[in-house]
Amino acid sequence: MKEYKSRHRYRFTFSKKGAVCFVSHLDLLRVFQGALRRSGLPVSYSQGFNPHQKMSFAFPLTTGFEGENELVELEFDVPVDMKDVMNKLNDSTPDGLTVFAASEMTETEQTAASRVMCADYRVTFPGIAPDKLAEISAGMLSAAPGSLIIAKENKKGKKEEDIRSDIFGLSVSADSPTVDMSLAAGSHRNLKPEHVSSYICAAAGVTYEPRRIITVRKGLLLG
Amino acid sequence: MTTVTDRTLPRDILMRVEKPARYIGREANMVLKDTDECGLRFCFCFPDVYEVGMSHLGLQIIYFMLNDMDGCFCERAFAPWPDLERILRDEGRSLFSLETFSPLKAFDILGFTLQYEMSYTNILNMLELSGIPFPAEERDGSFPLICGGGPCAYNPEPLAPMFDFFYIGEAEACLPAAIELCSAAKAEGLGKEETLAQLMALPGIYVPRFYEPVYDGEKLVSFGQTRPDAPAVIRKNAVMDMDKSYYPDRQLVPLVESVHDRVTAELFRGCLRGCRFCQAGFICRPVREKSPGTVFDQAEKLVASTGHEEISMLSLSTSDYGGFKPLTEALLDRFSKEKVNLALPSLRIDAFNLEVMSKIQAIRKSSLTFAPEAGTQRMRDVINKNISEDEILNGAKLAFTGGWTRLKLYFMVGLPGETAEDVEAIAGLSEDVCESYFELPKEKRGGSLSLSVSASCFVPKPFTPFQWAAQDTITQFEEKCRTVKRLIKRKQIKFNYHEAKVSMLECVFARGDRRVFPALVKAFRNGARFDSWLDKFNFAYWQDAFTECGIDPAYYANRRFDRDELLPWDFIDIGVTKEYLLKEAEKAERAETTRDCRTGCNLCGAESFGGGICFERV
Repeated sequence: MKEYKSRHRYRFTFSKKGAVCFVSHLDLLRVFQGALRRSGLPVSYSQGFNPHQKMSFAFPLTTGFEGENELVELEFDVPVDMKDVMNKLNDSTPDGLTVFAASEMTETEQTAASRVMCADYRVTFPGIAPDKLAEISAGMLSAAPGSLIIAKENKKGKKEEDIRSDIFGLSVSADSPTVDMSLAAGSHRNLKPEHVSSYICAAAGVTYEPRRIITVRKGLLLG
Repeated sequence: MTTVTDRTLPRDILMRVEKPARYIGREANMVLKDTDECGLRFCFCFPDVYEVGMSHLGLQIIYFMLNDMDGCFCERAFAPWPDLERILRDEGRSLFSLETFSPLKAFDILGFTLQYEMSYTNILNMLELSGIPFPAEERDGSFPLICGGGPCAYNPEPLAPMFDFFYIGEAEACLPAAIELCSAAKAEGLGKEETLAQLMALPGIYVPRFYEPVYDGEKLVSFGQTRPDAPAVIRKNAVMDMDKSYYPDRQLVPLVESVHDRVTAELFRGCLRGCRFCQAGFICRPVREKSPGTVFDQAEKLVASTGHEEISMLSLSTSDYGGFKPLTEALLDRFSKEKVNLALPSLRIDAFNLEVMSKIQAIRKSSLTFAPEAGTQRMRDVINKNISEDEILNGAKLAFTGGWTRLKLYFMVGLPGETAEDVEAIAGLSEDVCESYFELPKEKRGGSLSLSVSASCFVPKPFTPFQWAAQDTITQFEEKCRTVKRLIKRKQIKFNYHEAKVSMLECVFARGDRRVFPALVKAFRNGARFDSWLDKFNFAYWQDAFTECGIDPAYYANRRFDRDELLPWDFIDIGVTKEYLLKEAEKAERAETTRDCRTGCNLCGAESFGGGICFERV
């Protein structure tokens, strides 16, 4: 009879701010893997020909975006001291990457990656006046279904899509050119903030230039 | 709102470039010192892109050796990819170091590693982007000292007009002393000329301004000192005790996935084989091994401090390492549980041992590389490769039996004395290797075979027996490669060959003198960068440069050098004598082989260093 081994999984919250936000998601994976290996912590490995650390990120963050409440789940062979794990990770990762919260997962709890439903972003548009942004976002929220069309491009070619139903919230700051947006995120429905940002720029009659826009992911909502 | 500031490029620049994490530093094990209190500021400049430079062992050794010194802070700089270069030029920004994001002009010394000739245009680019003039005499004491080291420094002449000094040989021997000297000179307020004059008194330091080549028409006729205290001959630096020599206990872990993300365990330096085309084997003689205990301890520390999942056992010919079997077994024993793999590049085919390899390569999906280099036995004897056809086929068969289905074979075309028969034999041998796979019963084969055959173009290199040989012309190379391609029939074989135009240029700068430097500058001004990257290489820039500068590249590449002519690199002493190289060149003409150092000493001259394999007790 196969012996049942209980697993010890923990969910960690981290921020990715400053220069380190330019580390791509795949490279971030390697950063965490290296930090964990250096720490000597008893990380669990998968079976098979190419064993890898059991690590799961909730949702990739686009290179160049900052993240304030990103989630990663780690599995260990034995129960661990969460504070110890956080300290070891923080000591071994670039400045700007800070693990600041942790919680233990239950035996049967689903991964965050499978439960992500929504992502909150704060996007700053330096070239557009706040009241103009307020006008545009009000217009977007009151748009009739099927009327907020953007062009999405994938390997198969261009496709036109209505994004209104993927926007759960849109609000503008009173005194700064900042838009808070809550967008569908995850494996089922997903709206990239870049699509919303480019729509807003077009509506404002401004060329969409990703390098001028600052996007910060405030957090992820799990279903 | 957080903006990206503080020791990095502005956000809006990083948003516009490929792989921006190349430019932000902040790696695990990075060193940070206070630039006001740190003493001498040194910047290790690797003239290629981040991911290539970060795989270089020399960078890791020098970085930590200098940073472990009090009174020195070593930072790093790499060549910017063209997308960043365009932005830096448009916005008038200087190239910068990764640790403190300082402009390169702020350093006391810029140390360029000269790994391959086709990286030279990147050196020029890095200097120009830092506002540093090329000609050494145009730079006063307000500019950093520009120095160069590494394999290409063994013929420094093509870069001599630009560099203030070259460090010939191994850094561990004397670089710290050179740093201390520069530090003291700076504290005393010594001028540039005086500092260089003092540096020149250290072993292995070449200061071009104190030497003058004299030409008679095309010919180099003399190379003399302009100061009586400049040494007539400069002997390379070499560490004799590899166990006591500095080796870092940590490595920088790159933020961007690099060519090799692994721990490097250096086994020994030099090579006892004496393959006649191989510059590395000769310039690093005598063979000096680290004891297995030392390698093991160093590997352990490096795995702990990096978290890498692979250890590469590095040397020019790994199976020749005296302690190969016990070390490999000890490392496997220690690390396989921790899921750290062993990589053994540079294995000779005749030493291919199934027992060892099967333990190491738990995953058969990787490929094996063998380098027969030549297709006929006669040719292999000419180059002193000392490997028979039987050994090659047996090695391949063993690999197939062991489950490998992906094999790479390296060959060279254009070797001295090569005939059409030799060229055709490359195809023949490749097909025979393929054949030996199908000779195995179907059940014994691991899957469908993928045989990759690669032919590079021979470049005669300084300090080899072939240093006088004429390189084939581009047309000759291309025709030979087409011949091989035409003769390879099996669909399992994929044949590719190197760009002959690049190999020609490599030869010009490998065997060139100071007169080729202006052509380098002109090619750079035409737009030449990253010339070893095929999609960036533009031959027209170089053709134009040679024409403009009145240089005939064939003089350096395709001419057979006279055995008694003065060579631009003759003033450097590597241990191995010119007489020995000449003797070897003559033996090559008779297709006569030379035994390896372990079988018996050939008195090549390396024994003058007083150590290593030359004095190994049997």
